[in-house]
Amino acid sequence: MLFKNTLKKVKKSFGRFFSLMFIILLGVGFYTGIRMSIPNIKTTQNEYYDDTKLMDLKMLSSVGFDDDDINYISNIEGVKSAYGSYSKEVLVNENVVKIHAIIDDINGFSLKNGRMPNSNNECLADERFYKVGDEIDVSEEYRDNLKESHFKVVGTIDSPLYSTSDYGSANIGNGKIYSFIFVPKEVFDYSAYTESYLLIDKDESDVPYSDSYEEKIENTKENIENASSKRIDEKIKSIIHDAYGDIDLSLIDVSLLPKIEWYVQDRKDVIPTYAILDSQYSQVVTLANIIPLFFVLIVILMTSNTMKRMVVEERGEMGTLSSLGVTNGRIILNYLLYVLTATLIGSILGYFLGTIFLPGLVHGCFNVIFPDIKYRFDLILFLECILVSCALMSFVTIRACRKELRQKPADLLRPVSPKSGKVVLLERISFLWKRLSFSSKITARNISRYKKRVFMTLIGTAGCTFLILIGFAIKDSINTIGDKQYGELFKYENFIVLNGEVDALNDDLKNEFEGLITDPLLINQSSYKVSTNDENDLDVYMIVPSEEDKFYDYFTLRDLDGNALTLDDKGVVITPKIAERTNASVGDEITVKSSSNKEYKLKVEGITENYVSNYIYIDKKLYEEIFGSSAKYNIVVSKNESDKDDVVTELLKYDDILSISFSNDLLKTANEYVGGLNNIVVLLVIISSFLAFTVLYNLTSININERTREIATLKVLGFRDNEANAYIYRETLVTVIFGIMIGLIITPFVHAKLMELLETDTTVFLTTIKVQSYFYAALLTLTFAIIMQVVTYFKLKKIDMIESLKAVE
Amino acid sequence: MAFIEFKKVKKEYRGEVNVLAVNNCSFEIEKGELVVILGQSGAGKTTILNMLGGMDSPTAGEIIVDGKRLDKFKNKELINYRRNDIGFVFQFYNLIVNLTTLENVELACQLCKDALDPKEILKSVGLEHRLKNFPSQLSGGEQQRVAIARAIAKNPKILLCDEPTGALDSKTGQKIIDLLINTCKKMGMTTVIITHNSQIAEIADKIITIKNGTVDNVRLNDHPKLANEIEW
Repeated sequence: MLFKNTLKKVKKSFGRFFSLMFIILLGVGFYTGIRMSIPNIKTTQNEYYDDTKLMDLKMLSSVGFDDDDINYISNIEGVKSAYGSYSKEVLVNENVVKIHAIIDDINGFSLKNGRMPNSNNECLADERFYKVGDEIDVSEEYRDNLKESHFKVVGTIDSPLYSTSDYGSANIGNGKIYSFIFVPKEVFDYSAYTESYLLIDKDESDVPYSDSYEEKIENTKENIENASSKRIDEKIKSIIHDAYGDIDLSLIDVSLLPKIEWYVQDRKDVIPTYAILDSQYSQVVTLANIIPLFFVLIVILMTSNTMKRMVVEERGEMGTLSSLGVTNGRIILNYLLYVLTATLIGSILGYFLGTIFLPGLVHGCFNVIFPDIKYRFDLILFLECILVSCALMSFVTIRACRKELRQKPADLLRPVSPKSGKVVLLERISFLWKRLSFSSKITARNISRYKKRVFMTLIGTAGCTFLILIGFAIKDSINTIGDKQYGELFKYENFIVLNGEVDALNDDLKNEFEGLITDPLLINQSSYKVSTNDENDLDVYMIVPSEEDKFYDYFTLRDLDGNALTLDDKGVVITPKIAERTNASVGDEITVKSSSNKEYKLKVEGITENYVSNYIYIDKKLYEEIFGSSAKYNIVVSKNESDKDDVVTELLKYDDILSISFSNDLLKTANEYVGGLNNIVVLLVIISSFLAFTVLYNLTSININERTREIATLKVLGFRDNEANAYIYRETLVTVIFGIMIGLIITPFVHAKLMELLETDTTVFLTTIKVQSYFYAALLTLTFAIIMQVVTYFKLKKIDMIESLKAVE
Repeated sequence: MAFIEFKKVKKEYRGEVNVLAVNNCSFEIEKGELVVILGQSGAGKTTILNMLGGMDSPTAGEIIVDGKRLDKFKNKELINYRRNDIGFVFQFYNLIVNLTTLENVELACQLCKDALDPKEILKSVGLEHRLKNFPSQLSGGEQQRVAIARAIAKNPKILLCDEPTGALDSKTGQKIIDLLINTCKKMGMTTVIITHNSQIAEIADKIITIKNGTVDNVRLNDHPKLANEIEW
């Protein structure tokens, strides 16, 4: 009986049942989908790294490693296993290709096509740039230490060492790794391993980026560093022994001895963007925690509204049941069953749809190459969602029912008397009221009559506008920092790191630069730490220019109002993040620590606009005064004179030049990095359009249902369909416009807060939102509202005058 | 030719069960006449009024109003017809609860070009002191006056009233009937009143009795009674 009645209710008002279900579906789907995204992506990444046995640490040595070294390393505490390996950067058709050795138990790959190599002249190649059957020919000048110089691609792979489209920098060619291949290790003809890859002791919980993993990495690194000096001493002794036999060590001139140094690198150092990915994850997690909450709020509001409406409409039935002696509990149970059916279907569907589709979309926002994410079912989250939504919906329903049932059955049997008209506030301002057109007066009356619905429309459309605008705003903020930093603020075209330091531009350098670059400016750029309010020091670069005039050509120093700043011997110019983290303003002092932990106090003379990394600009005279020695220069910035590739190829030939980077490339990388943001914007627009549609549809259909009689009267009076539609919808449209305005007004504040949360130690985001973004957000929301109007137009057209005006029963 | 002519009008509602609401119904109404359509509930009088008011179309037969074939009208023409030529008064007033007395009348007036002045009309129905009141603040009789004012303010050719006194007590009903007689006579407006009350019928110039969906009798009333002469 109970079920039958519920089923009947569902059938009778399928539209309402469906919209209730759909709202819950949207809420649950969006919430769980976003919530699951990052854990899902991280798990996929972790599994990929596990499956391919990606290294935890990499070691390099100035003299290479032998088998005894490897053996020694693998016995260090925390190290699970160590493997000797080879790699070499070569040029293939002018592009830098890195050749790796295939080692069975570490740094694997997933074979996408083809097979494993059977002989030394076969190789596995990067799936992005090669296909099976391609031939790879190593340029002649790079054929040393290789037994083969010509490889046939027999299989294509992807490798976790190259997880994003940025493959990292190279020491030859144009300085950027273009692609990679894996060859049998027998191909390499070295006397010692060029590198060693290590796996550390870890368990399942030590997923990438987790604190426990980072801690194990740090501990193991420390162990290795402690143990390596012992091994190095042994090695040196044995070299001496080999060269001189048993002699007193003190007799030997130490400077003649070979210098052996071991370096340990972790994934952050080895895999480009491994570290960036982590901060991107936390950015998405921040978003994922904030936006769905807002969504859930709207869902609760909407469903509670729908239920109230339903209960009010069916009060007659409630009254009948009540007068027949059915207990209130049973009557409520009827509605609960109805609501819980909708909630269960909605939340289950929502959970699956959300967790199936959204993580993939979010995954697409990241610029990563690792495999597509697999579906993962999280029982706890699943149950949590169902329980929470059922509990909330029950609460909402019981509340609505109790309010009606408190009335006497006899009262319930009478229809609820329509709300009477009231004098609106605006009417009291009679000079204004008189000027309003007749239709505006009616709109004003209706708005004040249906306050609750108007309020919901306001929230719905303000929310929709907010979601769209915040999407565009995030994009605006992050998108433009690359252009600002590498276009407006840093105006040099290349950044050349010298091998060592110089006092001035010497003849050698001048000759080397000839024809390749123009207007070189020597600067010193060194790393320092700034003591901040909290215990975490801030990493900064200090820049000392050698010549003032050129410095201003290449670096724009301007305060936040756009006024130009200059360097003088009174103090330094710092970037905003430093000011923020130290609470320093102009005139204050900040403390910097050198790499040897010596502290210096610097007086702040200005704060200059900056978005990426943190800089302290200091005049060279002041530098000498504070640091006690004149500045030496390690970097040249300049404009390109020749083609970019030529500049790199030519300059990297010289020993006194370590590396070159181009502002252009940095800008491109920065833009690529934010490319995925477009997906976030699209996602937000889709979601907010769903939101707008459901909210508006729900509200306007309630509106029409409540006012059928009124609409029928209008029709009898001779209102045309479009006039009746305008009469009914004008108030909604006016409300929508107010809602949009509210959305546009609140977004900048939320956006500024959000950007603050998203900022890292090395980035500052712009908080200004482009005018177009406001425009798009408003236009899109308005479009949704207008589309809804078309839908309701047809609903309204269907209203039958005669039926609706029949005497009230 | 008469102002309004019904010629063998038939109206059948099709559905699970076909209902023949009106069949072979013919009558004529002259311009300026006050006509009562009398019948038991369910006899089909409301269907006739709905068709005459352009809210419904006949299944067969001809309806001619002022020389035009109403039964041939398309939806758009019907709307225009309702808009310009018809004033409707309902048993339950159907005022817009959210609008004041004056605004309810203005709402109708803004629809047609030669509408009458809303304030004047309200004055003529005796509601000049109630202009700013909302329907809920008015008595039933007052509400019906507003409804009548709303109907006649459009200056329609025909005023149609569906049981205008049905929800009112006899005294108030008399006043409404009086108002309707006056309107019809003073403005020369063709007025059709539906009622099941044979007492009320005596006020009419012509009484059309409907039985089982067809015209049973048409009687010209040489001495129409005044409102205060009838009682029910």
